Amino acid sequence: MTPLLRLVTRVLAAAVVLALAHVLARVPDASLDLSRAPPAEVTPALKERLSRLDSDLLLTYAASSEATLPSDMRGVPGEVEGLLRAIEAAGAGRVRVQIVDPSADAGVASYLAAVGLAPFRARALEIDLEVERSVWSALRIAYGSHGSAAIRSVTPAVLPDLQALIVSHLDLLERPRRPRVALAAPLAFNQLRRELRARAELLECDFEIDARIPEEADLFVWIDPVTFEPAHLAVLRALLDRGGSVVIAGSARSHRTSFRVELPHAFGLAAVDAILEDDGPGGPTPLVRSIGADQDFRPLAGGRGGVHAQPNGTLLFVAPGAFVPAAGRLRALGLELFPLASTSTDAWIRPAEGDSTAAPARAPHSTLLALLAPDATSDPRRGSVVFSASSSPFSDEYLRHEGFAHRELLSVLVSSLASEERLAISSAVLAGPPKLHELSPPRRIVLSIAVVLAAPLLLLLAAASRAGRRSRSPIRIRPHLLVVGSAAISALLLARFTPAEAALDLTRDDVNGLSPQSRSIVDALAATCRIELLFSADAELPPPWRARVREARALAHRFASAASRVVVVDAPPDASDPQALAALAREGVLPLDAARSSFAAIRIVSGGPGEARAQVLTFREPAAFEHLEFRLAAALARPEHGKSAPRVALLASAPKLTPAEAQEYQKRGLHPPGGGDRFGEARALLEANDFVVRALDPARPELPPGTDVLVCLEPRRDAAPAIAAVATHLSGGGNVLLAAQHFGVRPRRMQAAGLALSMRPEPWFADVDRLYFPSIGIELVREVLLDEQHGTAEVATEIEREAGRFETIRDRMTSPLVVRATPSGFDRSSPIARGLSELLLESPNRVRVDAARLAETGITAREVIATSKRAWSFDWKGGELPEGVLHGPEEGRYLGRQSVAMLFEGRFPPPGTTPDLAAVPGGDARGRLLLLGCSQVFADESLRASDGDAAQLLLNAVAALALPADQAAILAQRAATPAIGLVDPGEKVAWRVGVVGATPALLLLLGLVRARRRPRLSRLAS
Amino acid sequence: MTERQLPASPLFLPAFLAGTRLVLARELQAWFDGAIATVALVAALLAVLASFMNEFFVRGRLDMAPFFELLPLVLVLLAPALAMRLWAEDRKLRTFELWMTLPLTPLQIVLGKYAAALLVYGVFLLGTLPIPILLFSLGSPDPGPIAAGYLGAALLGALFLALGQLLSGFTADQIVAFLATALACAFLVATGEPRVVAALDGLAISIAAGTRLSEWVSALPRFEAFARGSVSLAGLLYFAGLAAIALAANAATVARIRT
Repeated sequence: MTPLLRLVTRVLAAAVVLALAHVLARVPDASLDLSRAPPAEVTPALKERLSRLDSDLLLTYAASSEATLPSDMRGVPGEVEGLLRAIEAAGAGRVRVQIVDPSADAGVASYLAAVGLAPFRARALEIDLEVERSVWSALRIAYGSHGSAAIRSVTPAVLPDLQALIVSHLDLLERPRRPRVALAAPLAFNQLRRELRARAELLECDFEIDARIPEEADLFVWIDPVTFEPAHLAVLRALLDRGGSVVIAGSARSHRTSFRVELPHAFGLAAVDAILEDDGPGGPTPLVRSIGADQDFRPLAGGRGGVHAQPNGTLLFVAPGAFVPAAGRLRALGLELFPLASTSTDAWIRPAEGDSTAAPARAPHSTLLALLAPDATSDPRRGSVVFSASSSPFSDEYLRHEGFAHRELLSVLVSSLASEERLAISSAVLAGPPKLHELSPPRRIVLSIAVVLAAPLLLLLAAASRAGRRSRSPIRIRPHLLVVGSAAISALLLARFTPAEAALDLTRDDVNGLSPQSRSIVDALAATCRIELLFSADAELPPPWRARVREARALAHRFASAASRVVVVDAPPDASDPQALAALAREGVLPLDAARSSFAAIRIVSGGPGEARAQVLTFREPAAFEHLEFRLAAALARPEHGKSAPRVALLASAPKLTPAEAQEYQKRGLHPPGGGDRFGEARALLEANDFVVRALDPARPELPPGTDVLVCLEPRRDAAPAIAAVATHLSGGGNVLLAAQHFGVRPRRMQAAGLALSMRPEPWFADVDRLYFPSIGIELVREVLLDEQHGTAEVATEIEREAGRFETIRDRMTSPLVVRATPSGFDRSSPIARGLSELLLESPNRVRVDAARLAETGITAREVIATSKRAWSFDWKGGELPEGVLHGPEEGRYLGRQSVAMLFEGRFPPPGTTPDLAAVPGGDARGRLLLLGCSQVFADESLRASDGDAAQLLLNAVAALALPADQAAILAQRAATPAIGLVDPGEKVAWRVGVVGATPALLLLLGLVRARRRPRLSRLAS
Repeated sequence: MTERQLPASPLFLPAFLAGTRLVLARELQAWFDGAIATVALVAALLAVLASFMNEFFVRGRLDMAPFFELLPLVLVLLAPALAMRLWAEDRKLRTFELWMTLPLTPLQIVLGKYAAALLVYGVFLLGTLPIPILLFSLGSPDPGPIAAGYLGAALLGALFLALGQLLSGFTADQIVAFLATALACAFLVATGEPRVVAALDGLAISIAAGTRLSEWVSALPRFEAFARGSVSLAGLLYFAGLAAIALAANAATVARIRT
């Protein structure tokens, strides 16, 4: 046999083996599954359940063909079909299975739509580009006269639990049961007990004492918590993990630190030491109302599989505490916050007694009732937490009060958090390895050491003993090894104690060291500044804080090394006496965690005795250290120039439904949802970076004196007061950041369209194109803007499960409506765009200027952010967006690069008194306006998103307008890597082949050449 | 022949270097006469390049962060694969005795072998240059972190190869040399992994063993600082110091065996 023939034979043999394995993999009985719950075999529990069927069972699995599914979904239809066939076989003739492909048959799709099943979005990669596909993988369980249920998305994550879910649904269909609600509440809440008994099976528990919730509970209601320890948190998390939900109600002000600090912190919130008040007839009152227009319960109902339901009336919160989202913490916990009920625009926030540093301030649309639901990265079967800022909606005094909708609120909470779908999940015995029971710390350590070291130690002992038997001479430590060991330790010591400053920063913007601007600031200090590091010892700090605190210490010392006038002092507060701790608390230095009593804050004292001025930098979460250099530099510079922290006036409108959508609710006798604070994260972000933020009432904006920048986000009709305030501030020489857009994206699946996905632009009536700005030559073009360079964003999709009854789900949308702006479209010389990698702008509008008109007023315009060259627009007048619009412009006519953010500078004329606020002559001071054609980028969900640099854009923009250039530059300084712009698919493939294959191929070639030459060389040598 | 009679010592640099060069040339020839170097380099290059490109266009960022994140893990396997034969093969094939008969000092032999291994590793790093070429063709990445990252990669590889050479000198079995080196390198990498640090810290909060190990011993935080664009004296001292000590120990071991 020739070598070539031998090779061919071997290759053929390998191919035969592979083909055989492939065929065998599809033979059902050709595998042995040794797991406790084999996915393709009917479990004993389901077999037993099938044996008790009293009606015929029809299981309809709707799945797209495998070829259209994304890679991670392929195989799911095959596995589900295999399982369903096994169930059919085990059903003794009572079970019938049908497998349908709705994407191949419009009739099937319409039928499934009629029973409330819809496809869902999935993402796939096509030539290295993320694309979106609508795919089907849903199971309908029709159980004769008992009715039907559905598992709406059978994904790989659901597959292991599919049988348990089927059992659970069958049980619920056959014997519908009431939700089981566990309650831990003070005795005085008798009416709540009665109301809960009317809606559910009530299970009383003493959670605070024994940290136990009845196993069978679907929902746990905890009123006025007092004690909260790690054991309580573990039990709450276990309940959420198995699909149960939690309602927690209590006022941060009326209770102890557990509610103020740890409990909100455990769920990604930061409580503010203040109470909310409302405008009352006799002045501010702690009785804070949330009227129907300030409530939006859609995320609660939709996310849990129910339908839209509103309490449909006013809710009363007595002395509610204020809390803000802690973005980093929420992300880490995999939670997303949705405000369900908010204050009106008349609310005030009153700081805690004894805090003289802050005065009462307007707090429009503050969250009173929040939903914390699993985010897109978490298991959607996890339960949710509803957090109420006061227990009054559940108290005896107000629960039955006719003027309030508290009983309806209770009904909505119980029916949504313990809906049939939730009951099925929480009743199912989900698969997975058995949970480890709690072990004592010493036992954990012993077990860890034993598992890691036992076998290696035994092997080493055996080897040593064997070596000992072989060699009679005792083991000696060689002197040279001692020398080497000592040298190694010396090298480590030397490396450890080499000053951190002895480093060369090769980054373009010096992001690893102290920036030149910070150096100039400390160089220019006239008075001595003391940086007091109020950090607890490393061991006392929670683990996620330690590295951040170490970096903060290093940074503070870098400031001290840069100028002799800066002194760094370590002043850990742990050992301070109670008076000193109380004094620190008055300055805002509070423990991070009451259980540990650890602290993380920095106090900067400028000037000598007698004229010292102290500023405190606090950190609510580890992420708050991100811009520490800016915070330190700004805090050092402020006293030098006699300035206080920059003041930001925030003017943000609340979302409203369109008139048509509002009518849908009104027809059903419901208050249209609206209200919630969409910009709470924006405010928290600015405050976390030492901006003093004052929220304004958008209907009656009154700018506080000394405002450094007015931030106007998402003006909505009637936008005239807001735009008048903007124009007046500009004409007075003020600085304004205005973010507005004409449309939001509203993906919908309607029964009439067979639940096919459609895009409907939702008018937001910003009126920027109608008021003031056209008169000075600035236009926010009222067209839908799309870009081939696009990204993915999380959106709320409405699904009409039954005619006229909608469910809102949150999913991720990949569409040209999500414009991706990259550095090729940024003005890199502007501090506004510096430090940004990319921006995801959901449904933005382009900014167009009338150069002649601007020139008349002497206003200059500078493009800051632009789209790619492949942008196009659609002049939308109503209805759904035509499908073709999403695939590109007509006849390939792209608009070219379009501005979505522009900076205007000059003497802005004041607004006139006409309805369109047309400018009138005047205005003698130079103002600055940053107009961004997208407000969604600053909404909570965008600032929380891990992709896109929305948070940095907000900070950059506000800093550039409110602060001196050097401080703005420090804030914009960060290690941001530029994003790639558009690359053609062919070019991507070429790069992939070139990068991966070029050098290995070259090496192989050289190796082969050398191998061929070697025998000849050997022959020559011999 | 005793060491004192050997013609070259570091004090006579040209002669010393000539000897070292001789070893280097012989070792390089041995490397590429066999298939190990080519196979190891091709496998490692395919692993890192394919892994980088798999995410590159989807992630859409002009930086080498994913490459530098993966590199320490790849080096945990690549460096032992390259270093395992440095002495173990000589001892197995009895060519070790041949080395010992040459008029060269142990340090010359050790440095010559080490330089050859470094050059082979250099070929690996050169093989990854299509990545920066790609980045600079598609936009304007920050060159600082890329250059510093490559410096860090060179230093990390140099340390791992030195450790590998030292451990290879203790055994005649290449597999033992590979496993021992991989274990040592994995220790230096794992002790800097945040999850490992947190777990070790959690065993005894007051001692914070994880943090101590990470700050004092681990190679990973130092390499990561380079990948961020920061070339610190402490990092240079750590890598160069430990590699030099490993080589000195190797030379001492060889000298001891020779005598």
